[in-house]
Amino acid sequence: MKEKSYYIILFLTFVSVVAGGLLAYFSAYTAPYIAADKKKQLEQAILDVVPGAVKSRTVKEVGDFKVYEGLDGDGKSLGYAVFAVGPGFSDKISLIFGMDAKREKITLMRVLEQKDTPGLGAKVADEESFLKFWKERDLTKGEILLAKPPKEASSLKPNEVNAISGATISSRGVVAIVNGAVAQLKKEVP
Amino acid sequence: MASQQNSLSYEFIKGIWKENPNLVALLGMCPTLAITTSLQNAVGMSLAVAFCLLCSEVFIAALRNLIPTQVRMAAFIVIIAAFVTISDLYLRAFQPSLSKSLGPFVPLIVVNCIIMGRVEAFSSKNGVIRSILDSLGMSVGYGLVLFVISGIRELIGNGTLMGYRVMGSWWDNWLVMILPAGAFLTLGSLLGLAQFMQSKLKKS
Repeated sequence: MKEKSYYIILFLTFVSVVAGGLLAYFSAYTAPYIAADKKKQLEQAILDVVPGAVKSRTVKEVGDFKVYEGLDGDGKSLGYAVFAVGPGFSDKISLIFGMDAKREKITLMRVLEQKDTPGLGAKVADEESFLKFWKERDLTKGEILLAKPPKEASSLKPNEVNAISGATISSRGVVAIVNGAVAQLKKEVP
Repeated sequence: MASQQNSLSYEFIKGIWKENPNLVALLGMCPTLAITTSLQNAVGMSLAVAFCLLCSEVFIAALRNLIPTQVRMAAFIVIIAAFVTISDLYLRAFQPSLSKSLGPFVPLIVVNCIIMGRVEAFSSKNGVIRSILDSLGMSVGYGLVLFVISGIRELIGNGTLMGYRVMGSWWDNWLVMILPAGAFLTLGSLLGLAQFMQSKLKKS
């Protein structure tokens, strides 16, 4: 009876239905945790990149491009947090950066999600290797540029950042995402 | 049915050295090469593989007399995929940072030949107890190899172990060890060493 085709069909159907049911249950069970974790990370990131902010407010959301405002205890605006997504080396990179209220400089930048090469491109999310160069970058002199060749952090021009050695594509990706987001911000939130 | 009448302890021990899934059977090379850039990844990956291997082997050993031979592969893959997806969802919900650093390699455990290989070669012919021991032994063997490779790569390529700096400032990171080439170099040397040791052991 094990060789009969109706048994084969029934067996496979049974296995698939059980597996499907199990997965549907487990996916529904974990979904709120996954969503809550994402939201918490975003909240935290907004408050991180706008120094002094204790709460945030959504200013604009256009697809993957999102602008938040960081507020102090009295509800006064301290600056903006801009969330943007763009291509990295292996997959999309999503990041968030803070701007002062006049939008003349980038205060801080954080990479929220990336799937680039561990140990190389993945260092775009690493403070020591990459993110520290993004503190207090000037936006009044045009776009952010990669320093050529990389320099000591203290001798970088105010609109320059260092690339990660061995991961130029990831570094360029991040710079392009930030520059694109700054341009889009000008358009969307004049 | 159970053709070999090995002792139960042998079913566990064999995965660690004699039939090590990485060093002897050369199974599951892709994740071995790809995720061994840090010890942390190796720990996460071995645990995920151990969970999927254990669950799949137990399940399939229990169902082995009901699974029609013609479609056994299809049935295996559905069962394996279910457990892999569960472990992926679990990691994403409760270990988000680990899940991020392992990236797509957790869902890819589905096509990890270690699991498919053990299920087809072992638990479809052996009972539940033996399958549990087999899966545990194989997981330990796999985990040890991942541990050694990623330890070497993280230490030489990044100067750290488990994310902590252990090499002094005099140490220049060998970037190549973190790159894919470093994975091949380390794995190749390790395979050579294992083969050498096995041939020595056989002679003596």
